[in-house]
Amino acid sequence: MQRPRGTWTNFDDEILVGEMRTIPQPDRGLLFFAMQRFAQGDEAGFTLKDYGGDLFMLKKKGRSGRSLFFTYDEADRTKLVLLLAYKKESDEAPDSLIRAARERRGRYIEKQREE
Amino acid sequence: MGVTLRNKGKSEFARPIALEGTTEMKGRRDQLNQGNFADDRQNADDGLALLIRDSIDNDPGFVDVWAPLALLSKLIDERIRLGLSQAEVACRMGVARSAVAKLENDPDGVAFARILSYSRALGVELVPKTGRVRPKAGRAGRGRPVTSIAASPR
Repeated sequence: MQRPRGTWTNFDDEILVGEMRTIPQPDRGLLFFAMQRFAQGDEAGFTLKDYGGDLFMLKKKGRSGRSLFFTYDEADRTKLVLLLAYKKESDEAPDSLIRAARERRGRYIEKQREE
Repeated sequence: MGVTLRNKGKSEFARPIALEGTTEMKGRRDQLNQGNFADDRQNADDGLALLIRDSIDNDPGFVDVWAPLALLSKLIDERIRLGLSQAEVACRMGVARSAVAKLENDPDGVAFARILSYSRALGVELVPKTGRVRPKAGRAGRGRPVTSIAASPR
């Protein structure tokens, strides 16, 4: 029996809404579906890549076209924090995107600590 | 058009499940804000629900992409809740287990008929949600309301 992993939260709603709008509709729909299934605890159909420092990339197995970076909230590990979503163009995520995701993770943690 | 999912034959399973937007719902911000599109697992604090709502609300045509995927996601939850394996469902659908695995794990471009077949295999009927949506001026009479999509009890 699968167990829900938690719920998604956005590191910044406005930025992520903007980024999602740039992803073509079919890819975006499948990305939302993947996020929903992952949060529900589905094990199959995903590749989860650990980039270290609590930074993870989630993508559908064997598919290109959509990926996202996320982290877990430090205080509440059931919070999946969406950091960056993008349309995948190559096997490896560009360094610039990994850097951006890490930077956003830092900003999110800082904000949480301030609160 | 709004529909709920209901398990036929077992009253304890007759649990309505909200389906996120369909074409006729498109653009009805008041409905969105009232949560009619929101997944019943999600709430206002759910970042994913917010992203989905934005796309439905502001991106014409997205609702047509999302509606079958949202329905499929709910049906997968229902299969798991009922304790049915993919193999059991595949047997009921008359397909290989791999076909059910592909439907659940890689629904890219899946035919709606396949999703309906999957729902029937679960013994789930799709029924309209009524009394919550008022026809918008100028939209009345367009489209064909779904009165019932029923499945045979298993």
